[in-house]
Amino acid sequence: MALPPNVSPTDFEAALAAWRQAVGAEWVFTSDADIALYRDAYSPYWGEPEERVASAAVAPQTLEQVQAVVRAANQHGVPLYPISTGRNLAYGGSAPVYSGSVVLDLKRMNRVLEVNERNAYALVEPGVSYFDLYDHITKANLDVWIDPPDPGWGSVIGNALDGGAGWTASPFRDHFGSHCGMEVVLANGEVVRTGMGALPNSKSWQHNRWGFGPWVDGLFRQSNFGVVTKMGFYLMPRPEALMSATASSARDEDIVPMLDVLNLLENQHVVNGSTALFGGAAGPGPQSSAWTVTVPIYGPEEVVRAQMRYAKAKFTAIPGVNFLEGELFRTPLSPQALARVRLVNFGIPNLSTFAMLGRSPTNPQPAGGHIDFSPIVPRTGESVLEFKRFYNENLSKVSGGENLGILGPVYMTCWDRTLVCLIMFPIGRDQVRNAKIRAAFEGWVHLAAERGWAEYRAPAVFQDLVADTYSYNNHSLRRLRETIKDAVDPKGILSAGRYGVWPRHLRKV
Amino acid sequence: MINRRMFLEAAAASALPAIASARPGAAPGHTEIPARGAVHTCLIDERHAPARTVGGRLRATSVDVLTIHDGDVTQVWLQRVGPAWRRAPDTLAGVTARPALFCLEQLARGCGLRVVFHAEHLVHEAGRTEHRLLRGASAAGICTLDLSLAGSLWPSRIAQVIATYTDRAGQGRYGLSEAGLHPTLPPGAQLLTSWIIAAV
Repeated sequence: MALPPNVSPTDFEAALAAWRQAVGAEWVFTSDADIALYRDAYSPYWGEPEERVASAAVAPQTLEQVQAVVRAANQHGVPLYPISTGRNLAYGGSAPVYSGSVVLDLKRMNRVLEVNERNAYALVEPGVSYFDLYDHITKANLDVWIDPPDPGWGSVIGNALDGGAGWTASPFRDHFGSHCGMEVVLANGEVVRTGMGALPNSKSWQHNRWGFGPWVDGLFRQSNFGVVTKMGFYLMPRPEALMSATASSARDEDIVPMLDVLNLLENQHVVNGSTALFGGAAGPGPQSSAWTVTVPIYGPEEVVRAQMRYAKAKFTAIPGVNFLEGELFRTPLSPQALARVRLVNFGIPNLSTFAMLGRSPTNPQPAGGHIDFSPIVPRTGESVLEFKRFYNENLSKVSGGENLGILGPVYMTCWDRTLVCLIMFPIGRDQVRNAKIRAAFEGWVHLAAERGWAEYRAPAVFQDLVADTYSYNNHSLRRLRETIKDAVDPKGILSAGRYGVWPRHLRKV
Repeated sequence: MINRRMFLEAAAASALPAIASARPGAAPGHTEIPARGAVHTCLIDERHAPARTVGGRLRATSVDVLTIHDGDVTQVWLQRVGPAWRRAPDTLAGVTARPALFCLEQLARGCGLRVVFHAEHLVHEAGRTEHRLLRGASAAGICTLDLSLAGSLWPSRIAQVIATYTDRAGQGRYGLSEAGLHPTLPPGAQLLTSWIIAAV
């Protein structure tokens, strides 16, 4: 049986015994076969000594069991790594950042505690997937939508806490940004409820996210300061219609005014759907390329049509830009429409992305496993052109002159006011190739940081590297986080190393 | 004189009645009682002829054959497999591309099931198929040679494996399969996977 690092066999056995007592022996996993299920299927270190793996796993079902597990871990100094449904693929999956940690598997906490149609919110546990919540809402015939990511099998809470996003309307696409209230178990086993939830018998926990005093919810996003056991989310009342259009131009330089118009329309809340930006020819050297921006609008049909007219007027004021309106879809969708649309844009979780990314006549050699480099750049056309040049000029250098199958850039405008220029790296089981991929990834991180770009999210094995780039004022942000970590988790048992925050006893000098 | 290849091909071709009679109570007029852990449902990726052949063979048995379209398991998961696994850990089989298995394997983890049988079939453009048995072969009573000697009738052999699968003591408890990745294939080749997900 594997032993967590810096934990004596006596302490580990004591913790295991305490966990078996708390959750039942059948929910404490120590066999190699069971622990193997927690490996990261997309690990860039698969099969190598540096692969992050769990030493054991424990799966509580109730808040009280979580508290007991955490208390026992704290008492015996056993590092825990909480996961929700463990499907954070391309960012580490269910494997711990600190190798040898015990996975705290929250999948069994899978209750949809409330869906309130009147005030459009839900309260869920961490094991609730988007499929589960969608199923609950559908069966109860409630007229609200969820905002699923793609694929939709992940945890509603897990995705939000990792900074994930979806594909319907603003503000619901920002999953953490559309949460309201949480319940957290701290490293000492104490339970905290945030926002209005801190008021006993609160009836407005999911009605106001701020509550009273300093807002602490952000401490638990992409962090290791506590174990979130409940979380509220705003839901979108079903919109009457969705209509999309595209604005396109054949000239490279037109991306500047086009993105300015898009930003204006989004900031005015005229365009509220998940926009996309396509274009920018790959390859070295300056090249003229076509750009296409998608312009989706949700709302009542007459409002949608009016807003689309306004959007069209703004875009077509740019010389050379073509504006093409698509079909208006009324909801609920007909069976015929369901077969034609992208389901996530209609709040329907699905797994089609795996089929789409799989092998096909048009994609004979798909990547399959992948990790993503996701830097944030200013949301301007000038930045898009700059990033395109940056990518083209550096691709060969960071790839060591080889074609490693790196794909990009993918320009993602689906976050409000944010532009992410994503680069995708294929991951397989070839260790030599994976090493080259890792080197390329590291190269991109450093090159981007030199230009003031850094990621919003990173695979577990690169979180230290990315965290190091946020170095303003001698890494003052990291020092602040470490101060908080030392206060709330002095023994450092929760998710050591997650997003570059290490407990004191594991910090490098 | 009949040789081993001809014998096996003949056996595979006649697998239909063999499969139908392999189950307890499968004689006409009897109510089918599936053996413990027997496959309830088999998913077939309609895009692939060998998968359709397996489905055709299994339709003569008590296995419920469902088709997935465009390799996407979403509807099957939402409407059939998800609800079934919430009730009980029913055994599921499939002949699909890797992504479908990957999705279902990940979803199965949360329901106490895992992949207990996994074979891969590299179908070359000219029709020749190479087989790899990755797990559960001995428990399923099959070896690579069986499939190779079956020639173009190998789907029938896989159908037989699926139709006759039962829960066995000492069944392997395996970790993750490799279904999340896509290996580089020869031009024009397709990679199919046949699999069984069961409670262990």
